[in-house]
Amino acid sequence: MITCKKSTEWIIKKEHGNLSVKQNLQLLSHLTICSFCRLFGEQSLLLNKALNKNNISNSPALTELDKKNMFSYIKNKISG
Amino acid sequence: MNAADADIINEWMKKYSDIFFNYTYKRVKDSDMVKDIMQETFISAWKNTSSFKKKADEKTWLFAILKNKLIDHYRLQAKLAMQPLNSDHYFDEVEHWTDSAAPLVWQNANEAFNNKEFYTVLDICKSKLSRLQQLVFTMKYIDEHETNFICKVLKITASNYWVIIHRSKLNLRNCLEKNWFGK
Repeated sequence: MITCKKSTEWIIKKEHGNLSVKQNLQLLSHLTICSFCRLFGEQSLLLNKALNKNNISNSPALTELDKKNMFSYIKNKISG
Repeated sequence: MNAADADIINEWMKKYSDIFFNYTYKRVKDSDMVKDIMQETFISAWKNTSSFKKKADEKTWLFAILKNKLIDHYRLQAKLAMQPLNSDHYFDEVEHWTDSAAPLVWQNANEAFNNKEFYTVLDICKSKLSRLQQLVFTMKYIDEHETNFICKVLKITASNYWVIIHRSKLNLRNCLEKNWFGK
């Protein structure tokens, strides 16, 4: 029987199609008796969804001064 | 640089600096580094204007240069970030979940995904990952690069890659559970 640590590792590999048939069977037999690892598997998929989502997290914006500074930096670099 | 060159760069900046900033900030999370990457992009674009076919789409062309600069950035950061991964405390000596770390049921997960605050917490949890873990995550989940490519750029082995993804997932899951779902 594989351990929970191994099982979580294989759950992730399985998401990417990187698990052999034998490993898959071992994983499934672990999952039938381990509710924690089953939860982990569900949550791992949810996490993928959250990570994939174009999160609308608050990113700062460039100020006009930033842009001016960048422009003069570029101008200098190119002339130099 | 003559006036015409200045006009070209000025126009690029007017059109694209906000888009490029948002795109890059999402991945790099450091305004100063983002500005550096953008400057490099515009300089490199200016040096290569002759290679730009008028027929091609200017925005696509500039974006391709930006993306290359971003890969250079990842590569350099990975070089700086080679440090031992912190050991985990999620499993006991027989590698079963410890009581404090065993997964709990997440209530209302789908609601969370439509909540802006959830992503702030997710960002905080991501920022707690090691630098190398963050790089792998950004390349994998935001840029959606292939595993082989990520390993090549960051100079890590495939087995190392899986260890990193595994640990990061465990860390993120735990952090979200403690700071969002467990509340």
